[in-house]
Amino acid sequence: MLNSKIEYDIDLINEEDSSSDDEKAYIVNTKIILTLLSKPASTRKLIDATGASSRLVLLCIDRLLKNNVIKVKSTSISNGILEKTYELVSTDFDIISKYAKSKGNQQELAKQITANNIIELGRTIIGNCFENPGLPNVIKGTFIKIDSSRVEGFKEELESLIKKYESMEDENEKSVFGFINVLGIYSL
Amino acid sequence: MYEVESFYLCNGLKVIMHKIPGIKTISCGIWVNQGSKYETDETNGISHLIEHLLMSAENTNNEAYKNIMNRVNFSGVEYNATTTKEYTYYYFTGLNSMIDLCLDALANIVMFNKDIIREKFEIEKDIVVQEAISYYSSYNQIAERTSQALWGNLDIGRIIVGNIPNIKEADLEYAREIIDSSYTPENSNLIIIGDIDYTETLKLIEEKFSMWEDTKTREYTEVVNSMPGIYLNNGVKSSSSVISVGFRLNSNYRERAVPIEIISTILGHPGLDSRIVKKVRLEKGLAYNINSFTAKYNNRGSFAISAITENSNVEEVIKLIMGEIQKAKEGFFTAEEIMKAKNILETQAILKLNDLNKHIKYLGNSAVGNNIFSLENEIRQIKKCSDEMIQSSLQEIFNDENIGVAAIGQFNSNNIVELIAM
Repeated sequence: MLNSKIEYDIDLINEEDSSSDDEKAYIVNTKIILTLLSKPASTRKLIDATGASSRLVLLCIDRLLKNNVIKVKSTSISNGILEKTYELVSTDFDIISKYAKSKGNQQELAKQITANNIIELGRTIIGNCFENPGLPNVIKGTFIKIDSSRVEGFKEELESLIKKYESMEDENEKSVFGFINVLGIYSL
Repeated sequence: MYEVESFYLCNGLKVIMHKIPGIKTISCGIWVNQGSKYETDETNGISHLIEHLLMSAENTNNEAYKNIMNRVNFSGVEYNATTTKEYTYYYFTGLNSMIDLCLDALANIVMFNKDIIREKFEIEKDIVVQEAISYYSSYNQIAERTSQALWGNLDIGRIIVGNIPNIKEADLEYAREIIDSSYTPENSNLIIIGDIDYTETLKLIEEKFSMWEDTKTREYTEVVNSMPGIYLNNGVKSSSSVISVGFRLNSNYRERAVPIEIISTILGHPGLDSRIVKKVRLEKGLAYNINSFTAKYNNRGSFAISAITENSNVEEVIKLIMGEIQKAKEGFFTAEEIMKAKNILETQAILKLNDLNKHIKYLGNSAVGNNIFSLENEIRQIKKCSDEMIQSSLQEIFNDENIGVAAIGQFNSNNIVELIAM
């Protein structure tokens, strides 16, 4: 007999052990998040994008859903086949790294995941800029000595600028321009 | 020669009669195309609840049925009902002289029993909840969990016994609506077998079922998930786990029904001679219960190998199962294995006709799929199944696009899903 406290589960996945803290699964999680950062994607597209087995991707999707990192954007039915499309709950990296931090005491892993995300995105943008020099781009790193209170003020202006950038989106356009922001302490 | 009479009444009820000369018992049953497949997330479990409501004489205001069932019980008639994913069936088996009574019981079930006593409705809900709790505590759920993994929690993936909160909150008026829209003549098959006179039996059928109003049946469009997936429950406090590696059988599977059964028999027949049983149980001692099974529905199906094993053995058992499947796909089977499987299937085809209850179920299940069972044709299909048909079925079914897994117990989810790959 099975001593399950779950009387009935509509969920197809019910996990109670720490195997969900596996690093390999985190890599797949990161790739799912990265894919969804550019646009929503179906299960099939996420499997292709991650290169992982469909079963592991489904497991990771379920975990990301339960941790409110992604959500179902839409479902479609064609010829009796149901397809789900997912999107990020938020493109704010805080939420993504909060998810990573919540799994035990894996702070190092959380840092890595956020950094990995940024590096991967930056690498893509920089590569595209070199290949398409005619398209607008800014690749610049600026390091100054400054009081943190003044950085706070600048941060508010930067956030306004980011909002302005976001508001410029035109869903009918095919090209995606990226604007990655990393503002923070470089050395103490 | 195995012969059947098959026809329709004017109201759309399909009737199948099969005469078995010289036997002293008859069996009759009705198959209604209403099962968990037709339910929603909010109503999952209603078909099974309806089966309970209509079968028990306790639940209905229909006094005639109460009298019938008193006589049925007094006369030693056996009866039962079952809900599946695609249909619900009720059958009665008794001495030849009981045919009139048995048909009366069936007619009342489908036509007159829906006037349910409200207090009894609530009690029956409690009974069904207890059945569901018992089901979810047992390893037997693994077969349905496999379908759920392969097809999603919808259509043929839905669990028959249903969702316990749904059952508790079920509404009598809604149950009646489902009965009205699905318990219709055109949506049903009446089966009678025994030493029957076709003309006399037809008269009885017309007398009892012609009044069944020819009303419209609810419509349904099949929907399943785009790809097979996983069902994992590793929150169970138990020393053993039950696992199942499953494969989708897609819409053309009926053309491959016999090669699939041959493959299933060679790989996982519960006798000790099949490949996977030999490997996992006899050579490695890792499981006692291990076998293959197929689940067949109108337009789709599932093939799976399941095992119950100690938690620490789960990954090893999966590796061995996957290894044997891969070996079969790459190396095929021996002539002796194929011949043995064919003999087993031929024997099973004949054996099931020797038990009247199994016999009627087989006819009924065939009728629902719009097939008319013929023993001669079934054996012919087994005998003429070629190596090429088996080989092409192996290649078509055992691939990464079709595979899923269900597991309940304690195990590492990430490791399990990584092992399921072709």
